[in-house]
Amino acid sequence: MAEAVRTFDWSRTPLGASALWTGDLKLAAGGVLDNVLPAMLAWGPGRTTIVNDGFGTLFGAGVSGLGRTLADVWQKAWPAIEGASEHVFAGRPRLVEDVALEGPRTALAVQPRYTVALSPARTLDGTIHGLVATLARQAAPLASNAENGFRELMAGFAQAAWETDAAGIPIWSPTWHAFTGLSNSMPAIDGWLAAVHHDDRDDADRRWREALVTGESVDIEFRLRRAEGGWAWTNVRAVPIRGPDGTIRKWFGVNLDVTRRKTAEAALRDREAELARVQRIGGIGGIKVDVRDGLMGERSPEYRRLHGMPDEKTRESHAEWLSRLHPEDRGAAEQRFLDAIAGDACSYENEYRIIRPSDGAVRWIYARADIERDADGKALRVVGAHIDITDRKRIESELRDSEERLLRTFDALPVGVGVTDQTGHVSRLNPMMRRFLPNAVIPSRSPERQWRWRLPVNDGQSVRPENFPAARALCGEEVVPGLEMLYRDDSGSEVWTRTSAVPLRDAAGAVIGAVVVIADIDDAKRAEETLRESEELLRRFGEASQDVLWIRDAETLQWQYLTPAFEKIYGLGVDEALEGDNFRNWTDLIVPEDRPMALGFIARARNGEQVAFEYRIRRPFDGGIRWMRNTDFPMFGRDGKVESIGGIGQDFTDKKLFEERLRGEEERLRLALESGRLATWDWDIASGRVEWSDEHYRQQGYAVGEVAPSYEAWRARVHPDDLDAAEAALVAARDGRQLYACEFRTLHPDGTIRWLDAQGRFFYESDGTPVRMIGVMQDVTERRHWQERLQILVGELQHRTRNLLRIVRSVADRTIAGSADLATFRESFLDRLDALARIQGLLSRLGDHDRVTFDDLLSAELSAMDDGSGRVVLDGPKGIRLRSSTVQILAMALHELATNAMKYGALRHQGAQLSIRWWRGEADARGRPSLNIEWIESGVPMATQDIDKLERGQGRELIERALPYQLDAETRYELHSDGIRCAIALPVSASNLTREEDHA
Amino acid sequence: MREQSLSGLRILVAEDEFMIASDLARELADAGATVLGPTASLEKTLQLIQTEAAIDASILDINLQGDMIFPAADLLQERGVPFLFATGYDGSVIPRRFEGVGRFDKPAGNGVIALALREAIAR
Repeated sequence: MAEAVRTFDWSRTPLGASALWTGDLKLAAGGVLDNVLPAMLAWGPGRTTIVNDGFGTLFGAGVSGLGRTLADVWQKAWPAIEGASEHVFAGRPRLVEDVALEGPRTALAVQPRYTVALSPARTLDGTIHGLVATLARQAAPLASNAENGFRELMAGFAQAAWETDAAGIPIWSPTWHAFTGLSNSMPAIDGWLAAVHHDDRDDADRRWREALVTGESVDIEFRLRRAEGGWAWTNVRAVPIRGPDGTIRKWFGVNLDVTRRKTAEAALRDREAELARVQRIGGIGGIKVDVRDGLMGERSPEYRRLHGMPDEKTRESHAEWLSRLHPEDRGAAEQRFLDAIAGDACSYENEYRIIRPSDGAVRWIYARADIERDADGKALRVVGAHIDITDRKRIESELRDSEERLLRTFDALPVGVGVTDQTGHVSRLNPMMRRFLPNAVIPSRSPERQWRWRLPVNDGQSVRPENFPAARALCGEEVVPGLEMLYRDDSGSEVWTRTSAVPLRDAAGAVIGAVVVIADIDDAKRAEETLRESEELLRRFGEASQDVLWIRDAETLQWQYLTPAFEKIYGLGVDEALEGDNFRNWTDLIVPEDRPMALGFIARARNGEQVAFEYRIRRPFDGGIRWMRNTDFPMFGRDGKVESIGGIGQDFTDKKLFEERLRGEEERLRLALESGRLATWDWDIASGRVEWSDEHYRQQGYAVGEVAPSYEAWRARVHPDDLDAAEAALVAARDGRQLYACEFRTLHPDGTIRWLDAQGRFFYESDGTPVRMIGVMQDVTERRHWQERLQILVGELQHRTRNLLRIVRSVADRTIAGSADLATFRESFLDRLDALARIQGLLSRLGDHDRVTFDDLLSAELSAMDDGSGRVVLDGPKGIRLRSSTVQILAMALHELATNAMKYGALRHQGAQLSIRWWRGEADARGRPSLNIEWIESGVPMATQDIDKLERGQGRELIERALPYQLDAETRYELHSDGIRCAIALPVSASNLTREEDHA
Repeated sequence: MREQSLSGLRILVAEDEFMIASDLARELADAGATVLGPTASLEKTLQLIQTEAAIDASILDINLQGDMIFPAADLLQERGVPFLFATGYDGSVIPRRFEGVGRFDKPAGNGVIALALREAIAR
């Protein structure tokens, strides 16, 4: 029968293909098939039946018990069974006795009757999924015999059979004791527990005691010790036996051996654990969706991990699954799932994105499952696997992008690219290539288009088409970098191209085609030609230039280019100059003092800066110094780096020498102006810009550079009183086209006033506009001072001269009055004129602050008269200074005294004596020191006529009248018999003199 | 009569040189004038002007022993007394306010001074 079960087409039944049966079903089916009694199993909601051979024979040949329904298989006996079966599915086993079967043996006289044991078939989790029915033929109706037979029957297929009283005390249990090896000497309600496995004991005890109370039939499984050792799994089934009044008389039970089932279950658990592990390792999430149970799904641990579900969430509803799907995929994914279920396919595939609840990540899920269907093709379950394909998706997407890019790149390439097969047909070509090969055939294989292509004639020989690049590549040659070819386009003009080709080979290395590249290099070619022309032009310029032009490599600083002017300037041939380390050699030509500076500038040019610098070189052949002015500039390469340095060198030695000479002259002029204290100005009238020499600042009391020179700055320091005149003179000079000459005072901030003499000249445009004024200015304060002084002196001189003449006139008058005759007049007059002349001589020799001293005056007057005979005694201090205004009149008075002494007095007579004494006296009322003079003559025999003359004489008038009048002097003049006695007291110069004393 | 031309006039003379002063005084006296002074210093001149009730005219030497005579001239001008400057200087030292004042150089010839004085008084 087992064979029949295996070969039966279960896929049409609700149980589905036997290969997909669950462990529970297989186990339950196995138990039925292995049963020695006729037995059947009804499984699943459809109560689909599996029967063993024994069961089949009871119902006769031709009637199969496989894949049918419970009601169907029991045929006419079903009414007897139906009620009990309901109990069984509710978890209560039932025995139904006296069941008559209508089967193949209806011919028998006596219909056999059967006892049917109905018990639930459970899955591992204990839920009831089916019903097991076991049939036993009842013995003869004789009660005791029947009972004994039944007991024997039980013992035949059970591990043990037993009876207890209503309280659970064993009454009969020989087979149980035999099986366990426990003695039955002391029957007790819990005696049996000693044989129960420790781990199962409490549960078994509890359930047995519960049954004793409730009266429900018993179905317990636990491990039972075998008498021969080891453990056996047993299924205890016990039912209460009731009396006619319904009370329980006793309990009847059997122990069924379920060891095999239990072992299988354990193995199944192991396998399931293994499966979970494999799923975890493979990243495969397992699912089961029960279509009948509202699409409730079971999720394996790995599934939960992939979907980011909480680990305890082993089951979830369809709605829960749906909520996890990415909104964009939700509709389509669900529809696909529902369509798969609704259709007739036995497998299902889906791809969709979820938003993983654990971290919010979007993940791609690939689901593949089998759909179990019942006999009507209605979907029962969906069992399958999920894998996370996010990475694969990403790679796919990137790959797609990359291929897309590659394709676009190919199309966008600025050169024509094509792949040709061996026949020269171009299978793949981009738009640029289509321009050159519109018929997609390489020129060498396309006679009608060959004429468009030619190679530039080389040595007068044209190149044959079989030597075109693509043709050569098809012969296995790599034509790289290719040939420059001219292509004549539709307009008839020729375009420069570069055509290159490489062969394509198969795995064996045979040429199967070629890749051809055609680049339009027309612009570059033309630019190259233009460049060549311009380079030629540059070369001619360079060679014609008086300045030396050069280009250096920025890295090595070696010359790459050097013009012939170099030889003219440096006296060294270009070829010679370029030899060896020419930078070093050039550097050596620079005079050592200038070398670091020049190198510094070149370093700057190398860093990208344009520089200009001057330096000197020493010409090797004559040692001559040349002044060079260089402009060096960086030349940048495509990468923006300085590739080379261009330089223009100019020999400006002659100019330099001229400049130096000019500077020398300027310097000399400046020094001359400075030493002459000449300030200069240069006024640019149009711009108002003025230049001043340093002296100009100083003369106007500015520190040099203190202000910006300007007309206003000049004006600001002109003395306000002189400003109008100075500006008027300026305007007059400008408008009158005259030289400007003006003296004005300058007023310095410290109050200093200086006289300045400015002289300048205006310059004019041809239309008469004054544009510039240049001039010099000199400080003439000293000169002015002396001019003024001179003027005073001249005035003084006139004053004195006129006074003197007046005095001479007066003297003449008086002399005439006192002279008897012309001879006497002559003598007296000349004598007096001499005295005046002496005084003038004394006065004229004096400097500004010198004074005539009294002793000088006295000795000048007496020197001619003193004969050294000792008749004259002088007694007084030297150095008493006389006020200049007093000198003349005092001298005249002394002269008269002396003359009188010679004519009539002490100097005339032997034995007479003249004593002159003088001393400094007290200061007068006005604080002026005074000089006292005594003139005493003695031993003079005074004649009467002499006395008469003296009394009327000029001497007396001068002393008595002129000195008091003119000098504020106090005088006394006495004529004594032995001579004159005269005393004079006059104010003299104070030590601290003032200028006013010089006047008059 | 030439000598009588200054008769009755009181003429103040300021001259520091004795001989010139005495000559001038004699000349004026000869012309009939009464000479006030002469004075040899600015101080004495000022004093005389202030104390003398009647002065008809004056001859002033510009420089008296180093002092310029102008304060005295100012005083005379205030009193409306005509005067002459007698000087050896050129005109440049004379302040502008005395621009119209007559002036004669020393030495002046006979009668010149008297004439000048009369002109000054007449003005």
